[in-house]
Parts: sequence; C-alpha cells; structure tokens
Amino acid sequence: MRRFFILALVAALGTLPGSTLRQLTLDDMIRQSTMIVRGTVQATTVQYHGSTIFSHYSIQVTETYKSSAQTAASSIDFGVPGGSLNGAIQRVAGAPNLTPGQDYVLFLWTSKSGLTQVIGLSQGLFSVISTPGTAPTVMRAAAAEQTLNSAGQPVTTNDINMSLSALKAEIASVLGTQTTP
Amino acid sequence: MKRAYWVRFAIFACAALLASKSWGYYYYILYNTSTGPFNQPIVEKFNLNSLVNNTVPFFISDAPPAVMAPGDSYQAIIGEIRGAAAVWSNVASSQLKLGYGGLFTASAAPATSPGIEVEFSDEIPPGLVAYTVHEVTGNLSYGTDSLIVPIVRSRIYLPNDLTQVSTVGNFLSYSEQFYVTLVHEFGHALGLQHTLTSGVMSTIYTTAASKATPLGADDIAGISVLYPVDGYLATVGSISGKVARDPNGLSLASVVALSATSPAISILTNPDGSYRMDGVPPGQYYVYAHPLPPAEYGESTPNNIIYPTDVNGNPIGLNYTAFATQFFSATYGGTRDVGNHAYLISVLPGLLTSGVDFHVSQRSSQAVYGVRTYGFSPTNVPVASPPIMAGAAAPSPVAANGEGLLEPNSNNVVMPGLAISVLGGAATASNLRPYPPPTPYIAVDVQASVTAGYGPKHMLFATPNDLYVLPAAFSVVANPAPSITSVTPATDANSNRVVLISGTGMFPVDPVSGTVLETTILFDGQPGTIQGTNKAGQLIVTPPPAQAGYTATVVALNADGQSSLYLQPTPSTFTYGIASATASAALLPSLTVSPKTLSAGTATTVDVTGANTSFVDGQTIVGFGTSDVLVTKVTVLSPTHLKVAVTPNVSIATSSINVTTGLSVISQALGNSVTTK
Repeated sequence: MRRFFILALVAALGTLPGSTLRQLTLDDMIRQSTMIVRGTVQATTVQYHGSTIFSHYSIQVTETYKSSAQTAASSIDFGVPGGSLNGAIQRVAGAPNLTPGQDYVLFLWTSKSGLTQVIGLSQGLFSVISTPGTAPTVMRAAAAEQTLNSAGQPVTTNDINMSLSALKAEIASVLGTQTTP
Repeated sequence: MKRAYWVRFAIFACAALLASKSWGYYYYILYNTSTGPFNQPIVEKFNLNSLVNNTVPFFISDAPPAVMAPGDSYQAIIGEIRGAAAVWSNVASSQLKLGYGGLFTASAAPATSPGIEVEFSDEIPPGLVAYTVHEVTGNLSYGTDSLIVPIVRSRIYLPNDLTQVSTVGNFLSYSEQFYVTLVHEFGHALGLQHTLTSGVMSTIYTTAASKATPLGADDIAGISVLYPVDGYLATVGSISGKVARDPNGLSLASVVALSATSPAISILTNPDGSYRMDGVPPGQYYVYAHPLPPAEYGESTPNNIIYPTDVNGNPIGLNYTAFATQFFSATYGGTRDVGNHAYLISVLPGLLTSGVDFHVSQRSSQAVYGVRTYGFSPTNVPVASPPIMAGAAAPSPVAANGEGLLEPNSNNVVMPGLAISVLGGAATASNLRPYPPPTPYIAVDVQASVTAGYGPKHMLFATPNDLYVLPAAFSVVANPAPSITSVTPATDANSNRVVLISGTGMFPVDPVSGTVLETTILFDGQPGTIQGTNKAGQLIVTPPPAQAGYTATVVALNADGQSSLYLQPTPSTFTYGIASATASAALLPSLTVSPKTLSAGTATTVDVTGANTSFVDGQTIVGFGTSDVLVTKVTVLSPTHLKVAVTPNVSIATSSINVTTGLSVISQALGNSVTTK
C-alpha cells in the first residue's frame, strides 16, 4: 500500500509549486510538441507579443522528426520570451539560451495564436554533439554547457543524454511513425 | 564534540555598517563595470521613490481564464492571487507593500507607472505552469539609499486553460500548488531570484514552502534586505567572506547560514568570490559553501538563475564546474564533519562577522543535488518537507528523490557510501533504503524527540567525498494537521453573518501566550476573522464579504505549516446566503459612477453609487485598471455609496472602475457581472 503512494508521488508531488517549470518526460515532449526538428539556429528579430518581448530565431531545418504544416518549410521561426526592444529589457528565468550556428534538436510548440516556442522553456532544447568518428549524441543544452568534468567530458546525470539515433527511434516509437529523413 | 566558536576578532562594531549597502543575495544584479573589480553589485528592484506609500500596485486581468477547473471561479482565483500577494506585504521588516489595484484590461495602453500585472495566457507552452517577465530599462537610478536598476513593470502569466496545466491537470485555485506558485511568482516580480534553501523562492527541486507558511527565513531576509524598513539592519547581523579555489575567487557559489534550531539563509558570491550576507537574525550559525547544481531537467542555467551582467550586458556566469561542499571551521579547507569540527558563528544585531572564508577543492561533479523530501498525511496525502510529530513513539517514513541518491541506471540500489543524518542530535534518520523500480526514491525513518524544537530541520546527505545539505527537509510539529468536519452558517448576537467551523487540530488562541492566533481560516484565499469559540468548541468566524449565493472553499492553516488540505484535499465550502440561481441573479450588483472621465494631472473625487452592493470601510478596494491612476483614498459612506480620491497621470474613462469587497468583484468591464460557483 505504501509503495503505491510512493509511486503516486511522481505524479502528485512532481507538480508541487515553487518553480515555473514542471518536468516533462521525453515521451511527454514527443506527444505535446507540435513539431520536432533538427537544425541550426540564427537570431532574427525581436518583437512584442502582447506585452511580452520575444526574441525570434529561425531554424534551418535539416531533419524533421515530427511534422506540422510549418515543417514543410526549410526554415521555421520560433520565439523565446525575453529580450530588449525600444529601451525595455525583459528577462524570463529559464528561457533557453541559444547559440547561433549550433546544431540543435528542438521540440517546438505552437500556440493558438500561431506563436511557436520551445516546449517547456528550455526543456525541449537539445544540443547535438558530433565528435568525429562517433555517432552524434543529444543532450539537454544547458546540461551540455554546465556539466563537464575536468577532462572536458560530459558528466552523466539523470537528465537526457542519448544518441541521436536513439532519440529518433524513441520519437518514432511514441508517434507510431517512421521519421522523415 | 561540538565547539561554539566566537569569531570575536572579526566582529566590527561599526555604526556605518548599519547603513551599508547589501551585497550578494539571489537578486538580479548588474556590475557597473566591464573590467572589474566585480564586487559592487547593483540590484534590480522597484524604486521606492517612484511609489506612493512604498506600495506597488498589482492588477489582475479582467479577462478571466478561458477554462477553469470544475468548481472553481474567477472570484476565487482573484481571492487566492490577492492572498498570495499579501504574503509579501505582510513581511514587517520590508518597506515594500503590494496593493491590489483591481482588474485591468491587457489590451489597453500600457501604464507608465510601476506596477505588476497578472494575466492568463494562451502562450504558455507545455512544461510551464506560470512565469514572470521582469522589465527594466537598464538605466540606473538612485533608490532610497543606493544606485539601483529600477524595475518598471513585472508581469505574471498563468495558463488561460486551468484544466490542462502541464502535468497538473486541473489547477485549482484553492490548492497548495496554485497559492505557492503565485507567491513564488510575486517574489520574482519584486526582484528575487531562485534560491536553494527550501524557501518559496527555491525551485521545485527543493522547496519546502506551503500555503500555511509560504515564506522561509531566506525569503524574508531576501525581501527585507532589498527593501529594508528603517532600523531593520540594526536588528539583524551580517556575515562576509570569500569563497575561493585558491587563488581564484569563485563566482556564484552559494553560501548558507543555518543551525539545528534555525532556518537557513543564503546568498551567492560576487564574481570575485566575495560575499556579504545581510539580514541574518541574531544567533549562532554554521556557515557552509556549496556549488550551484548543474542545470536540471531543462533549466537554462543552474537553478535557472539569471546571471549577473557587466555594464555591457554580458552575463557573468560560474567559473567552476563543481566543488566539495564545505563548512567553515578552524582548518584551512573547512570540514564536512559538521557535528565535530564545524564552527558555530555568532551573529549579533547590527554587526558584521567577517573573515568567514572558504578554500574549496575542485570536483568533477556534485555527488548529490536537487533533493526533495516527502511524507504522507494520515489520509495518505503526499506532503513535501513533511511534518514530523515531536516525541512520537514510532518513526515516520520520509522519502527523498534527487540526483546521486541511487546508483545510476539502477533505481533500486542506494548509492554506495551514502549516509543520511539530521543536523543536531534531537532528530534521527535511520533505515536508509531504496524503493524498487521503477520508482527512483529512497526513504529513511525519521524520529524527533520532544527536545528537538519545533520548526524546520535540515538533513545531511554525506558521500565519501562530498556533502549535500537539504535545509528544511522536514518540520517538527507539536500537533496533527488541522481538519474541518463541518461549516455551518449562523449569525452572531448582532445579527452579523458568521460561520461556525467544527474540526480538530485548530488553535485560534495560542495555548502558551493566550494571544497569538495559530490558526487562520481562509475563504478562497481571503482570511476570515476568528471571533472565538462557542461552547460546542466550534470556531466562530466572520467570513470576508461576498455576494449572496457565492460559494467559497474553506481551508484551515496552522502556523506550524500544516493545512487542512493535508487531510482533506477537497476542502469544505461555504455558501453565502441563499444559493438559488434566481435569487443570485436578482441580486447582481451594479455601479453608477460620476464623473465619467478623469483628466490627467487633476486630482478628482469620484462618486460611486452601488445597487445590491455591500461596501465595507477598510475592506472595499477601488481600481481603475492602471497604475497610472492612483487611488489615494476610499471613503465608504454606506454599503451602497462611496467616494474615491484619485490622482490620474493619464486621462481615462471612469467606466474602467472596478470595486472589490472581500470576495465580491464588481467591474464595469465585466458588465457589472459576477460569476458564482
């Protein structure tokens, strides 16, 4: 009986407050994102959506893992909350930090108004790490920046860190589809 | 053997310290230099010189959430949001107050005066429940005592569909999570960043905040040092020093002061490793330094901290990967043996204890971090940072999850060498064990003696080479959680509406002092007034005003942090007057307002006549939807007539008026309508 309630903790207390974030599992993100793509990003514009400044980026899509009407385009626009415009500086804790030219896998979500964002602020942002002679891996972008050991090797945590091929297979499995090359 | 060490040589009784600028803390920080030295932080905060009565007005969108959880209502949401804001206003040592300014229209021209707005948004992606946008211009101003970066506006966004909130589902306004989330977001709005000491400003990974005691000592110190009342700094002490991995100071290392009987207070180091922790209540403290954890689960930075910036806006992040946690001791390099070798540092009011330095050793990664503890109420409701009864005959299981507690990829093998204990000897943790897969938890049995002292207790997670401290891992309490068994409408001897509340574990009067109220009764987040108890032992409570037919949830909170929601996740309700829909419709209130417009710069008295209203002197709040119209006084002449003195900075139609009395919301923008449950 007690074990049952411990199991229930994941659902019940994983949602307790104190942060803006709620942890999404990889499967959550696969299901709840409206598109999943790989590509490199470039900063484009900064503009208001309502009262909030969004910094916009375009991603030059090299692979599509989950399709939407937008993914027919080779370049997709998405926004990150926060930025500087007309003398106003707005900042949002947890907003993803994107490096222009970096290779990413992005789990994107488009709102009713048509604004596309990274799912879960930074949760849906993965760096693709390609090392010559080895298969590419993906890891949560922030973790890739922060958890390197003294030899410069990524430190394994319980956060997502897997091969790109395994990620693609997981996406295909959850969606019950084949990924689009 | 414990050693109390008085760092007398380092205490400087310098009156100038009382007026000195605060350093560090988990604030939003700018260094006004591009070359250094980076040890003079300039904080982002509301400029009290720009506010009237040190009050930041906050507004709630007049566009209610498109979809609310079953049984919830717009007024209930407003009540809970107002309750969450009041948490910060009630910090006596902070000058800053939050004043409810009523409803606002998001599409209206943005206000130019400082304020906070709460909106319901369709632009919140899955994985988020709420977020706060914090706006500055980047220009420096002189605040009340120092150079600051003034916050011009903060906006808190909540989901527009409160039934599809990521991983929560129905986001009920009475819930612990809704309330504490709002308190947390208001903290951001006022200038506080995430911390790691289990206060309300901690992230989900370590927070111990509850609806009954939302603020920890760290939160109180943080807001009080940011907006101190006159004389505050003379009542608290300070600790300063440096965290270095020789010879370099470490940027954004966390320094924490706590003891077995006191809650934790923390700050972050400057880029040069220096720190100064103000706002420490007098007492004896262990002080330790620990690294920020790696960014977890999609955080963009460690702990989602927005890094300080230099004068050119360049972020100044961490200059370390990890280091071993270290308590201050007589030994160069500190200690992890808290009980035997850590020093207790004496903090005295108005004085600085300096020289509390740390020389840390590098690690490739942290052994343990991001730990959170859970327990279960008698009705098996899971509770974070659970209450433990002092002197209980049997131990209580406390579960914990976090990084480094279990062997990687095993989920059912406790990390070899991991040992868990409680700071101080009056509470014990034993029988460390894992839960079987797929649940990545560990558990220990916790028992507290009657001498443990009430309040938050801290757990130590020791590994062979490191130590993780979880402040407020559990709380020692004297009584069970409150429980409400019935809510009965009644009238008092003067025919005023009261509510009789039956239950257990409620203490309207402190049994020791005889004066302090230990129990608060909330009606949709707004406190009722406890008049006393009757012969049957029922609490006699005057509820906040609301229109007839309105149904409010009723929750009891005790000062020890426990809530009736621990035992009854679905709370009792109280319906005002006759609940028939026909009667309610007939009683819908309306307003007649004169004059029709306000002119910019012209102080005006607005006359408001109500129909089916119950204005109450001291409780009725009038707003015009913008911080650019300052309401200076509300005079209630009768339940249906009031006058409002306003000073508008803009010209505006008075049709934007909204009047709130208790849980009753009357808004012209809403067509004078109210929505009942």
